[in-house]
Amino acid sequence: MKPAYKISLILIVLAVVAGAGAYWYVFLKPHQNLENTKPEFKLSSTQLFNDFTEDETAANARYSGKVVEVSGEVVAVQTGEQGTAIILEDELFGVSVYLDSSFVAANQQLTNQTATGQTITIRGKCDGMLNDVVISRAVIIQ
Amino acid sequence: MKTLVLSIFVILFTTGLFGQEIYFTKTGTIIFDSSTPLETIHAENNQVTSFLKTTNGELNFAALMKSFKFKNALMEEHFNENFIESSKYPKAVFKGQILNWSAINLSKEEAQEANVEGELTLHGVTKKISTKAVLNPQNGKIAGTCDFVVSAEDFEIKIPALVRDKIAKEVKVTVNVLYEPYSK
Repeated sequence: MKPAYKISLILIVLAVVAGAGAYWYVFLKPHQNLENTKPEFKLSSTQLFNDFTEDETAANARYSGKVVEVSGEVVAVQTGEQGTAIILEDELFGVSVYLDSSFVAANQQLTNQTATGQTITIRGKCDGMLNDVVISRAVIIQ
Repeated sequence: MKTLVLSIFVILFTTGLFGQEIYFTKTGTIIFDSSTPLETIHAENNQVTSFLKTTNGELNFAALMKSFKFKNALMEEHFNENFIESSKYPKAVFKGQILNWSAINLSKEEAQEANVEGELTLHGVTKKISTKAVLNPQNGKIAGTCDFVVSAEDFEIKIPALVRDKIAKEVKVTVNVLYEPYSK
């Protein structure tokens, strides 16, 4: 084979591999794994709830869509068909945390042990506020 | 926000907080599907808040757009940034009423049909929705399910020409709730 052919063949193979990589990266990229993501904010559930009640627009700009690490007292654990929710601070006006289903599957025991009255730390994505602050795709840190 | 908290307080206190007149859930589910043969578009929100007032059948739903979860991370990003503009319009709210409330018997543990009518606010646009739902009182809780169809156009959600064939114009919405009595 002539060197020119060889080079172009190599280039074509490289282009295909790069294309496949780019496709995978852009179209099939996985969701962020929060167990290994550094949180942008670390705060208590009281602080987070107060920030949202004081100025929801500002709090949305600050926290919404970001990874937060929140500590607070568990007031309720709700396990439904779709997954597990942990409510911090207050049943209606607190922080509502929805656990990541794959985290729950891998940490069944830890999830089952979570009970009312405990103080826990979770890391998750802040989605905004309804009557409580909503955090999703969460993992239990402590 | 303050007005929302305030109005919930007002609802709770003026309707008798201590009876079992308010049923609520914070883990209601809304699923939407606008799949076409070309693409599966399916998202689930498991953090829907809803109140049901059992004195008159008044209903309230609120959901955050960012809580809609897609299997595909890129699709979720596009949904939030390009379609629903969740930073500008973070939530969807439904305020309505069960029209045949007097015919519903909560002490009967069986599926009962409810006619729901109300206003859905989504992407900054409010539209009237009327649909049939099924209520099923079980062990002191009330299970509710309902589905209806909305069109993206009605809510001024623009779909870029490039993906227009991949996304169904009619979006099927399924709602599932399990209300618990609110007592404190």
